[in-house]
Amino acid sequence: MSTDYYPIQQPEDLPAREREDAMGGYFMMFASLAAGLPLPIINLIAAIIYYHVNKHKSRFVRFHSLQSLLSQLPVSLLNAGLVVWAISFFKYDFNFDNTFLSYLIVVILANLLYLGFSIAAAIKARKGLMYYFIFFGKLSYEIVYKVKDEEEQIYRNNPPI
Amino acid sequence: MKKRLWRDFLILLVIFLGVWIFFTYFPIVDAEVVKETYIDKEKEIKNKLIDLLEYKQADSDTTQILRSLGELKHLVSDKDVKYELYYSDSHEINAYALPGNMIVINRGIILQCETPEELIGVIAHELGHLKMKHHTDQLLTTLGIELLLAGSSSTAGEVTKVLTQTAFSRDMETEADDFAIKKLKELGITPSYLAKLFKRMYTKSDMIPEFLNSHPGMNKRISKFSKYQFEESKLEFTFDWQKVKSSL
Repeated sequence: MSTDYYPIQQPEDLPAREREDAMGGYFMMFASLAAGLPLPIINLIAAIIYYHVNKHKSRFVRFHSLQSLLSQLPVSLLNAGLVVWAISFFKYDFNFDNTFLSYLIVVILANLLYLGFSIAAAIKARKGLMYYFIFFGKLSYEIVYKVKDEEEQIYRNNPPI
Repeated sequence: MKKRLWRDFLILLVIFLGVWIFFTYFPIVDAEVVKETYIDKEKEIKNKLIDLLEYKQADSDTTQILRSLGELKHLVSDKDVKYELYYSDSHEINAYALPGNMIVINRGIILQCETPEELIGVIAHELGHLKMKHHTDQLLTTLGIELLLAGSSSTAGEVTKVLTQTAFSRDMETEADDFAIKKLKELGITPSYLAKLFKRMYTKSDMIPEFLNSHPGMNKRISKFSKYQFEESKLEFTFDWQKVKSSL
């Protein structure tokens, strides 16, 4: 199993277009996040499409798009949980208690953190810099920059046996 | 790298659970306070709605109709739903359930009822909608949750418009009918009283009344209630129904 990683591009090697595409990954999430509430599935679909459209442009663009997409997953799940929980009060007479209120605070904090980190990452991406979120940064780096075994394999044509 | 990934993942999980547990035991605002505020808001919306549409609550001693409706309300009860019955002076042949456990009976439908048992059937049907929380489903799908929490009079007006003019789904109507049948049987009233009312409303008017118009599959419904053999109910009332109707 390979432990090699592709080299990370430096700001001077990155054309402006790639930096903008990398930045777009984060800004795309804001627009779709707003449009997707209270149905977080909409912004997730938009994020997946953005990632697939841009993933072949360069590893730099792919990294930022993927980091944005992956970090959005738990936030979307938390938001969806909140919506379902809130609806259940009306539908099933669930008890409105401090557990729910604290979950609401957690969701608000998660959204604010996501917003703050995404803005910081978008600015860095525009400057051609990497920016690693906790967990999601490492995960995205692992997926995008790690040299996969099959990529190293050299296929050769052979005569029939 | 994998170890560091797992470490980061656990850190995030611990932070998430830690914050959640912390605020559960040390809340910024107590849930009970929020709940009370919400209940006050709900009451405020309800009162605005009542003022706006000039509903009169049954049970009050002011008029014969309100006293009679109060008596019917006490008959049609349910252990899970504490509802309020209101009278509206509207000539429209209609009755409807509203959020906040309200049932509104229009003058129009009262005049169509030849016996109080028929009106009991109508109330039981609307109580079925409340019991099954159909208005919640309807609101959530048509308006979104926000409108329930908003409090302006124009919003209350919009909510009422949608609630009184938008039909419940066919399944919801069937559920409410089934509940009405069950309730009427409990009271010793044959469900065919409702069939009689529906048939009368159909034949008396060229226009299909609102109450029937919003209920799909009307013929099917009439035959459902007609299946029960008609028997005079043995219920006794303190009022004379014909006098009550003529007082309107």
